[in-house]
Amino acid sequence: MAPRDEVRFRRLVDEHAGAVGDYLRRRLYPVSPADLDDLVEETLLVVWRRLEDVPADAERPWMIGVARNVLRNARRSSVRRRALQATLRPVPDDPPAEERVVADVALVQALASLSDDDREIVTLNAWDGLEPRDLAAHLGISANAAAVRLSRARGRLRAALARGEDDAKEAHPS
Amino acid sequence: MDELDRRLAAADPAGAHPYRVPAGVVARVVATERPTRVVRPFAWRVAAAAAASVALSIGAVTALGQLAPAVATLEVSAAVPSPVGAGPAAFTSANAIAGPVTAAPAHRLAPEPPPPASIAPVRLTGLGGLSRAARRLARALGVAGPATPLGVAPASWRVGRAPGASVVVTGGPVAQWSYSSSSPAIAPATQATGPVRARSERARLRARAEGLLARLGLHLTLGRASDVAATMDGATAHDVYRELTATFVVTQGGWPTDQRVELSLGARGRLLYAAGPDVTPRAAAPYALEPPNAALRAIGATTAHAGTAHVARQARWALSLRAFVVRGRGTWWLPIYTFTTRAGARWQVLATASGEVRVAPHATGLDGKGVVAP
Repeated sequence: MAPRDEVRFRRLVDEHAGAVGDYLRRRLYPVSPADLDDLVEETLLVVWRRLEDVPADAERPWMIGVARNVLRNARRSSVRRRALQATLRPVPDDPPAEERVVADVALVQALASLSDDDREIVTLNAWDGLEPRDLAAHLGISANAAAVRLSRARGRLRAALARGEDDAKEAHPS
Repeated sequence: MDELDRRLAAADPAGAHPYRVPAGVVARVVATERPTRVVRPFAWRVAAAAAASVALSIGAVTALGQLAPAVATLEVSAAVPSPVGAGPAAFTSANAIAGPVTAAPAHRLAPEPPPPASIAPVRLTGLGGLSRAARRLARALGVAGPATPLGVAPASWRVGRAPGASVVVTGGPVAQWSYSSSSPAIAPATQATGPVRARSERARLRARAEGLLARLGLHLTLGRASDVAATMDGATAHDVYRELTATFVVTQGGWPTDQRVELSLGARGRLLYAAGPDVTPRAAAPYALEPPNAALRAIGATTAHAGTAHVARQARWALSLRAFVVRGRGTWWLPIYTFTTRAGARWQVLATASGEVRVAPHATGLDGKGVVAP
């Protein structure tokens, strides 16, 4: 193996693996450190094997995209495992990570009311720090389209927050 | 940053404690082999020309042979004893050294097919804690009951209610599981036990063992059955099977390992007993493999084993994978040569090129040259 590849891989790890771990933890919280390490390792394994495919100008979005696929596969396996377990003992469905984690109840409800795509683009921007250019690389769309989608999703989140707070005022008038 | 951004940032589940990648994760990833890229026709021609020029240069070939692969060094700290009940082929049962000790041991081997140039060491990972593993296996096998700890050294957990079916998982470098049905063993009036030679019965047992592993989520492959026997009601060949038992060698990449899967079926095909390792194998990048003669010299270089080298003039060797504890990196299957003499003496040596696998100081179960203690 060329040392140059390993040098590049280690630089990618230094600069972006923390963000990849945070991305996975945000979407799986609470998750055990061992499970999180396993998912990060699986992600890094893909990055290592496909090092030539990592775009130099969008390394973090590309790696988070890999993490998203790893997460999706892990969830699929989890669903299959639960389906097997369900034949023996019913297991309640886990709520989405955002619902369990966020202490801001109104924000929880507003995020939950968004579509999956809207919630994803809002959290990728706010939590994972992906700007529209990065979002474009991550989602495979143009930067302009990403900016428009982000703006619209944030608008819908604001509207949902406002609706939720109005409902709360009606339910508990001061 | 507006109010919405502030609320989102405050709600970030990972905001307080940013994730840090453990150093071991990166080392493991870098130690894995990367796939070969697709080469275009033009590149093929260039590569072929380059390869031909390299092949013509003996010096280059020599230099290539000395190049160490970009894989992490494994430091072996202990040889893992073969599991109890690993069958008649268990290495520990046949490690006796025989023959006179001589001052000038000879290192010659009978002609054998050459071993491969490289072999991949395999990391063995557990599928969770012992109690969790016991519950997982019990669920897959339909065993109900509480999970209770059975012992501390080695740690083990059982799920089930006596005298019903139970699952036991025992910890250690290679965790082992076993399942036992509730059927009490009632000896028949007359009983005969012997090897099963019918191909259909052996195939049925193998299919059941493979199906069981799949049901348990264990991605293990089975090699030859090292032992298939039947206990029958009555003492004639026409009597009905009471119990069929089989022991299969677990293989990895086509190589036999030190792990076994056991299976016992009742007369109507009901699973009575099963056991095996509770691990997931993950192959790393291949290491260069030293030839058997080099491994044999390691035996001769160790004073305590000088006699074995003399005996080994007529020894035959076999390559397999055995579990070792690697410092800081868990349990691995590493390649070993097992030398067997006509007299039945048998011993084992780590079979990797020097520098890629090191034996840690004060390692247990093997000496500094990689010779496994009997």
